[in-house]
Amino acid sequence: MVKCLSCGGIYAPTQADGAEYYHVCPPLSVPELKAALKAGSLVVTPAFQATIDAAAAVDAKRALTDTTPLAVDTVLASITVARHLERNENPAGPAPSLLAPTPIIAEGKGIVKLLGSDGPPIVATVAPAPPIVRTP
Amino acid sequence: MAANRDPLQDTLDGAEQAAAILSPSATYLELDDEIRVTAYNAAAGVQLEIRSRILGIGRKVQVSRDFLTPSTARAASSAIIGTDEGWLIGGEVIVAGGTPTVGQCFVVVEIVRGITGSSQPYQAVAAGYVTAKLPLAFPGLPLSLSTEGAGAIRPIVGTTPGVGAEVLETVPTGARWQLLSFSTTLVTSAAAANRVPALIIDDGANAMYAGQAQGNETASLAWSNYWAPGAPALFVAASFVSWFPLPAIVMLNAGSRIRTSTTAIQGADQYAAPKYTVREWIEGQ
Repeated sequence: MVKCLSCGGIYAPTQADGAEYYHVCPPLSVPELKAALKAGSLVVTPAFQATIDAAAAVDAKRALTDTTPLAVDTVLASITVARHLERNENPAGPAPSLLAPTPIIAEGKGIVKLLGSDGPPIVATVAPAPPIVRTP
Repeated sequence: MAANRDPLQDTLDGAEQAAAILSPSATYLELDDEIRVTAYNAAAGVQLEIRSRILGIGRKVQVSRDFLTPSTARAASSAIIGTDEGWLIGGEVIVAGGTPTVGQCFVVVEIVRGITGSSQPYQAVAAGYVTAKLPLAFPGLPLSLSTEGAGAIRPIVGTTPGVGAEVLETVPTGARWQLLSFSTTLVTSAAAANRVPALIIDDGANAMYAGQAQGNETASLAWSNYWAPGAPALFVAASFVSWFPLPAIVMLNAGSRIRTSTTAIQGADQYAAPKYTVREWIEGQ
């Protein structure tokens, strides 16, 4: 198993049937979009910002409970924003030579192998239970 | 006519005369002609063996055996096999290693000129899938499309997304998928909110279909979500399970995406790795 450093996703590069699995980072979710807007790392068009502001104004006038769906969330869910330095492991073309790896579309921030991921699952060994001795 | 002259020799003088009068095959190979085998493969550990029989000018049948180890990226992997001059009586491509199923290793056999990467094809003699049980014979059989046949049934375990992120699975380059089922578990955090997962199928940009759970998935629980053709639109809160139907046939090109979009998803919610089944073919390159 490996972990994508761009999105935090964890996956197996090779499936149980032996086929290769090509990970692609998901677009930003609504909580991630909110965080990015708040941090200033995501800039939207003035028109879309006006839509967000209008939705926020609607939410401000409502009696919200913990479970009331927010108009702002609905607005943000309507857009798809790729995350910065997303990783896309789909092949970008043929390998330049027989020994070279196949280039992928985007490396992103790279991946890290998770411990124990190459071999069989790590199974904790359990000491055998003592025999049950029945006394007459 | 001179005594003891082989009447067959008169026939064989001149390739054109020979081909017209004594032609054991419709495919004649000159010295400049080669056989090129191209494989588009998705299965691991596959090795192909190419065998052929050629009736040479000297009226001897020459057999050849060559090997090709294709890549697993569904991209073209080729081998060019030098041949002597003569008639191509027949041949086959067989699986010498690995166990590809139908839908995983598509092979094209052509007559080409040139032995480098710039070889020019002049005649396609075979195209079809090979498996451990089914060789591809040439010449003589009709050419098949890579998108024909039963396809390979593949169960896939996708990516466990990061915390607060949605699920995303993408049809890989070089593949065509039919989505048969999709499931994922949403573990909701303690934050109070009514999450409503939806499964969206898009072409990489535009959503083509959305199937939304029929109830609210509340906090601090693990909700199982299932989507499949023919599934009921059903939400059983007591069992924390949601089912939703997909269209009867969901065919997806390379680059199409299957993803969740969850109303009121919270930053600490966690989707489990999706588990889904597809029928896969090699797409036209």
